[in-house]
Amino acid sequence: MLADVIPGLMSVLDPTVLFFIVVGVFVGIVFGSIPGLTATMAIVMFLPVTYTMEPIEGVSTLIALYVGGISGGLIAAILLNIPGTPSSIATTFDGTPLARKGQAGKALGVGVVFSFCGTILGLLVLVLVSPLLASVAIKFGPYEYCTLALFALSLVITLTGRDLVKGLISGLLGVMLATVGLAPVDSAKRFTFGMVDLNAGFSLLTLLIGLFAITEVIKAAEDVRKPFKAEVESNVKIKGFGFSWAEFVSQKFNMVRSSAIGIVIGILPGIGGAISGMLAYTAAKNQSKYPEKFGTGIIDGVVASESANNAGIGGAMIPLLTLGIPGDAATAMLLGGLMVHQIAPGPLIFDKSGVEVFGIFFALAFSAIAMLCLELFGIKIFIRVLKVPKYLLLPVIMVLCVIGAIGNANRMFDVWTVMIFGVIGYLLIKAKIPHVPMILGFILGPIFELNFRRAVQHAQIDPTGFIGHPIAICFFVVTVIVIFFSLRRQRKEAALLKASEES
Amino acid sequence: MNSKRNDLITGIVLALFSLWYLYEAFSIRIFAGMGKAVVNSTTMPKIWAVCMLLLAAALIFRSIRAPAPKGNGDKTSASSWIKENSEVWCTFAALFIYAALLEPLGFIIASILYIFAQTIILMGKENRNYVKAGIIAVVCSVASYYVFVHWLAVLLPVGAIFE
Repeated sequence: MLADVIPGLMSVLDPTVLFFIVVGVFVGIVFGSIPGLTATMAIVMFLPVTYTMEPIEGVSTLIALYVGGISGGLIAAILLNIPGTPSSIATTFDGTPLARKGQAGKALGVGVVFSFCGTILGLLVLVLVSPLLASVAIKFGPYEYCTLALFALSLVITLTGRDLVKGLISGLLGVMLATVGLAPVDSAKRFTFGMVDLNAGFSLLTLLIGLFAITEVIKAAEDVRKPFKAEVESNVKIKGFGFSWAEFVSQKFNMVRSSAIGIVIGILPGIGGAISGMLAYTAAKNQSKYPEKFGTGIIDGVVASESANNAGIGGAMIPLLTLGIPGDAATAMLLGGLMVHQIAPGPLIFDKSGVEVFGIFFALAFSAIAMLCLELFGIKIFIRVLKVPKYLLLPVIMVLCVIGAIGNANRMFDVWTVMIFGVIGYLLIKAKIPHVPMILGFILGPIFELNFRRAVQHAQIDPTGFIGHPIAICFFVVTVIVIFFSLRRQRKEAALLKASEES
Repeated sequence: MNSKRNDLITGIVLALFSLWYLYEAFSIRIFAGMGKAVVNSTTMPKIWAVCMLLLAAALIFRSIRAPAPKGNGDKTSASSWIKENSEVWCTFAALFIYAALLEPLGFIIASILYIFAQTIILMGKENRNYVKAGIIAVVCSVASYYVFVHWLAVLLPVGAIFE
C-alpha cells in the first residue's frame, strides 16, 4: 500500500492537475460565498467538465470544488451576515460583529487560516483512519453490510430533522425510488412499466441535480418579489494573515477541539457541516473563560465554526472511500464523481485504486493550500463576485446542470428525470420533508436489499449464522439504541412544544 | 397554507402513492428459478410500501389531532396563491419547455431561449433588462456548446431541424 504513496503524489504534482485544483478551489469559493449556491451545486455543475479527464484530474477537481465550497461560505458569513453555505451559520455569530467593529480583515484572516488548519487536521485523520477501517471492512459479509446500511439509515433519519416521521418518509422515498430498475441478485424488472430507459434505474446524479439544483432556481423565483437588501462590507484590509501569532497560539485548544467535533460529525452520515459548526461553537462557548463575550465579535467563535466545518471534509471522506457511504449531499455527489471515473469506493479501494486514493489525499492537501492563498490574496475578487446578482448566475447554472444530465449517459431521458425530480424536490420543500435522508435512502436502500437477500440465503442454510457475526450484532444493537433514544427525544420535544403552545 | 392542512394533504398523497406502489409490487414477475427463496424481488418493495403506508397514516392521524391554528390570517385561497407565485410556475414551465425543445431545436437555440426567459423571470419587474439578458443568453449558450462539444467531448443535441 505504501508503495502507492509516491506515484499518488507524482500524479497530483502534474501541472495540469495543479491547475485544475486551483481553478476548482476558486470556483468552489465563488459557489460557497454566494448565498444559495453550495458546494454540492459546484460539484454538480462541474462533473460534466470532468467526464473526459483522466481519473486523477477529474477527482482532484471535484475535491478542490468541495474544499473551496465549504470554506467559501465564511466570506458571505462575515461580510454579508448571511451564511454563504449552511456550514457557515455559526461563523456569522462572531464574524459579523467583528466586521461591524471594522475588523473584517481580521475575521476573514482568522476564518481562512483556521479553515486551512481544520482541513489539514481532518486530512490527517482521514489518512490514518481509512486504511484501518478498510482493513476491518474487508471482512464484512452480507450480515455486516446489511446491518451497517440499517445503522447508517437510522442515523441519517434521526439526525437530519426535528420531525422523525418526515425524516423516515424522506428516507423511504429514496429507498423506493432506488427499487426502480433491475432487482439485485436475480435482476427481475421492477417498476419499469415496459420502458427500456427505466431498466437501469434512476441515476444518483439526476436525483441530486433535481433535488438540489432545480429547487434552487425555484426558490429564487419564489423570492423575486421579496425585497432583498444586503450590504456588502467592502472595507477590508488584510495585513499578512490579519491576526498575530499570539492570537493563533491562544486558539490552539479551541482549534483541536472544534476540529475533533467536525471530524466525528463528518464521519457520521447525515449530519453535515451546519450542525458541526454549531456544536463546535457551543462547545467553545461553554468551555471558555469568558462565555459572555461570544457573539460580540471575538475570534474564538469564528475559529470554532470554521475549523469544525472544514475538518468535516476529511471526516466525511472516511466512510465515503472505505465503505461507499456518503454522509451528505456533497459527498454523495463526490461518490457519483468517483464512479464516473471508475474508482469504486469500498474496502478494496486501497488495493484496486491505491494510487488514486493517495492522489485524493494529496489533492485534498493541495486544495487546502490553494484555498488559503486564494482567500487571503484574492479576497477583493470574491467581494466583487458577491455583488453579482443571482438572476444572472442561476439560469446559466441550470444549463450546465442539463449538460451534466445529458452527458451522464448520453440520453435525453435523464434530462426529463431531472425535471421531474425538481418538481418532487419542490413539493417536498413545501411539505417540509428534508431532502438529505432521501439521497441516503437512495444509496443505502440497494446496499441493504442486496445484502439482506444474501444474508437470508445464508440463514436458510445455517439459521444460527447471525450469532457468529459480532460486528453485525453490534451494528444492530446500536441501531436499536439510536432509534430508541431519538424516539424519546422526539417525545420530549413534542411535549415541550405543546407546553409552550398552551402557556 | 397552514401546516395542519399541509400535513393532511401530504399524508393522503403518500398513502395513495404507497397503495399504488404496493399494487405494482405484487405484479412484479419474479424469476422462476428463485422459487424456493424466502425473500425474492418483491419482498423488499412490499415491506417499503407497508412502512410508507404506516408513516402516511401517522402523518394523517397527527394532522387531524393537531389543534387548529389560531387566528384566521392564513386564509389564502388557492387561486391567489397561484397568482402570487407566478414566477414559480413560469420557472417550471420554462424548464419543461427547455427539456422538450432540446432535441428538436438543438442545444444552442433551446439554451438561448431558456436562459433569456429564466433571467427575465428572475429579474423581477423593477430591474428587467432585455438586452442584458439577451447578451448573456447568447454568449453563455454558444460558449458552453463549444467548450463541451469540442474540448470536453460531451455529446449535446445538435437539433433535428439542422439534420
